[in-house]
Amino acid sequence: MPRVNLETFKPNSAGELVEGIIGELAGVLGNSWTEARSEVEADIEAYAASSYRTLERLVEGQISQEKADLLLHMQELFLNQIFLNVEFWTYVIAQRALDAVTAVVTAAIRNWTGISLNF
Amino acid sequence: MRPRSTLIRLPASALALLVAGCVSFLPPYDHAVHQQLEKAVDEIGKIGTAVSLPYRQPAFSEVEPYYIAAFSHLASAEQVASGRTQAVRGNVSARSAAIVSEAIGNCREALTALRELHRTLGVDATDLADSRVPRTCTIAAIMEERLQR
Repeated sequence: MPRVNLETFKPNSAGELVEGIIGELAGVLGNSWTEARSEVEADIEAYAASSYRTLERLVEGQISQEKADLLLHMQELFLNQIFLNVEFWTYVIAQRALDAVTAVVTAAIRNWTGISLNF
Repeated sequence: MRPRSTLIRLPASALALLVAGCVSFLPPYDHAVHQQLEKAVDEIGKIGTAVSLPYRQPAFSEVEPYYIAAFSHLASAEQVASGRTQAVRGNVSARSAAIVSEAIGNCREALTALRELHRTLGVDATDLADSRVPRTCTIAAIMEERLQR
């Protein structure tokens, strides 16, 4: 479903308003989930690569156990950060969805009545 | 079709959305928090540059000022974010505000560990990359950035 043109969106029925909302939502949500997923996947891969390399270096005697300990600790904090980011994304996306729906409804009101509601 | 009758025909759910528009899942963006976090990331970048020099390994004392500066920026960010987290407790945005505060805390802890590693055992480019501290702190900065709507 295509994104609505907020400049001209003037629904003639509740059904058209709903279609406009869904179109806008699909666009915003689709893009946001894609963005979130790419970011999280990249960070997970980075975490795995770092953990593995630390393990390798330890096994091959390139680094001491103390150093490996501290590196693993920092990687654990990074992993925790990734999970926080995942949870944070859900709030960002919920907010973007809410803002998108609000934009569609206020556009419809503005295009019909000339009034720009601000809520 | 007259606009007034169209609005009256809106379903209750759409009208509920009109009222719900003032709810926010995210706490208000704070430019100071964002700026301080970006400055902290910058200082960490300087540490990275210093340990990646091809011709010599700098002494910890040469690099320590960058750590100190980064901690200073993080402390500022953490303090402001903490005030915000307290302010929105009980709101819908409470959890996301707490997440940002927790993320800043993770960054500070990670940098503390990196500093300890650097001071006691030394840190080369591989160590720094594998610590993932730059990215850990960048995530916190990006979270704040995403509060902008």
